[in-house]
Amino acid sequence: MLILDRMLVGGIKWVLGKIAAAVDEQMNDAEGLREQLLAAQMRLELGEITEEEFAETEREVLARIRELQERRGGGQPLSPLDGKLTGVEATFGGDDERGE
Amino acid sequence: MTRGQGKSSKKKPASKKPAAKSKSEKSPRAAAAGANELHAGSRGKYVYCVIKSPEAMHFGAIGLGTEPADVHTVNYRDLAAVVSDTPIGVHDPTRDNVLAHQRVNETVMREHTVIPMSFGTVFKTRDDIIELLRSAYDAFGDVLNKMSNKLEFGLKILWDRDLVVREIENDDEDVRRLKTEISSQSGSTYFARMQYGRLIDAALQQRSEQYVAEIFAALREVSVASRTNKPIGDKMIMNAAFLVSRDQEEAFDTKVKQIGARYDKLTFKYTGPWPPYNFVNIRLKLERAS
Repeated sequence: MLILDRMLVGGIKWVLGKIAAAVDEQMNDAEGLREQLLAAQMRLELGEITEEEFAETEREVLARIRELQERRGGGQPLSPLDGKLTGVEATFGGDDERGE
Repeated sequence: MTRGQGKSSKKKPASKKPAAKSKSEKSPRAAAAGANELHAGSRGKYVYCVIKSPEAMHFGAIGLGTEPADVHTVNYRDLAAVVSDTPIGVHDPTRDNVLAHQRVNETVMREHTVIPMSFGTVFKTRDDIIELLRSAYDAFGDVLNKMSNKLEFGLKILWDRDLVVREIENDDEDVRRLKTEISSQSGSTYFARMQYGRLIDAALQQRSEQYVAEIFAALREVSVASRTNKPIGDKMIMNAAFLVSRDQEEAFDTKVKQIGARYDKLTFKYTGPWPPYNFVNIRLKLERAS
């Protein structure tokens, strides 16, 4: 069930330009909240908390993530046509890529 | 040991549709205008992944939403973004939403190499997605070639800390002596307790590192690459992802099962196949016109 960790860490990510340093701090807060959510999922999977307890944590954490996102103007759709795609940086590989 | 999956259900196979424009296939401009007409800016396009496909494709109603949205592609040359229409706004990473995102990628990756999008990516219009594919065309093509026929598997390993502490107490003479000293309660046990704690911590650390190193070494020959992530919670000693060639999937699977049997005191959370979330790192920098 721990799918979320993949989806939040990996894949194609967006870095919005014009993000001030102050927002970085909020991003860190969001990171901490996601970790809380993942830890709760793990505990649910291990049977350490009940579905109800998980649901309650999930509600609280999601509400706080949403609050952070809204504060930094999240939820706006991406629009390369309105703005400008200024950088594409693609890398492939793990910690120890060993070629083939 | 069985391999867990996100959650799978039987899905309709993807049907290829000819590239010829059907009635519903509007030109990009018309489609964009259409989206705006619905409710000024209220619908966007949620993007699940990018694949190689010169033809428009439909994957059925398996997308996000209480009524699962229709999943189809937006194409540019031989690249395609797999998308569904969605209301604009924050998409909470609820279990339903996350499962829907995964369900789509799981379906698409059966027949395609995918570059997964991280959760919650919404574009304004179809034209914006075409612009994305156009601007990042070379980078996407390059990554798709490198990811071709490769799958990601997740391996999380947990231990029962108390059990390991008892093992250490049995195995380590110094620890055993200190424990006896503490429990005998003769005089102050402060320094004995301090030292006991230090020895236990060091031994735990050493054992966990040894397990992790052994397991990585065993999986090295059946995988292409690996990545270590931060463990979740205090029981996890390893949180890793492995990139495996399709033709080595069985060998990898067998190896993981062998390891699971060998380390019977550890708990293994083995999942996959996933799209290569941990091995693709595409950062797109977007300057928003203010």
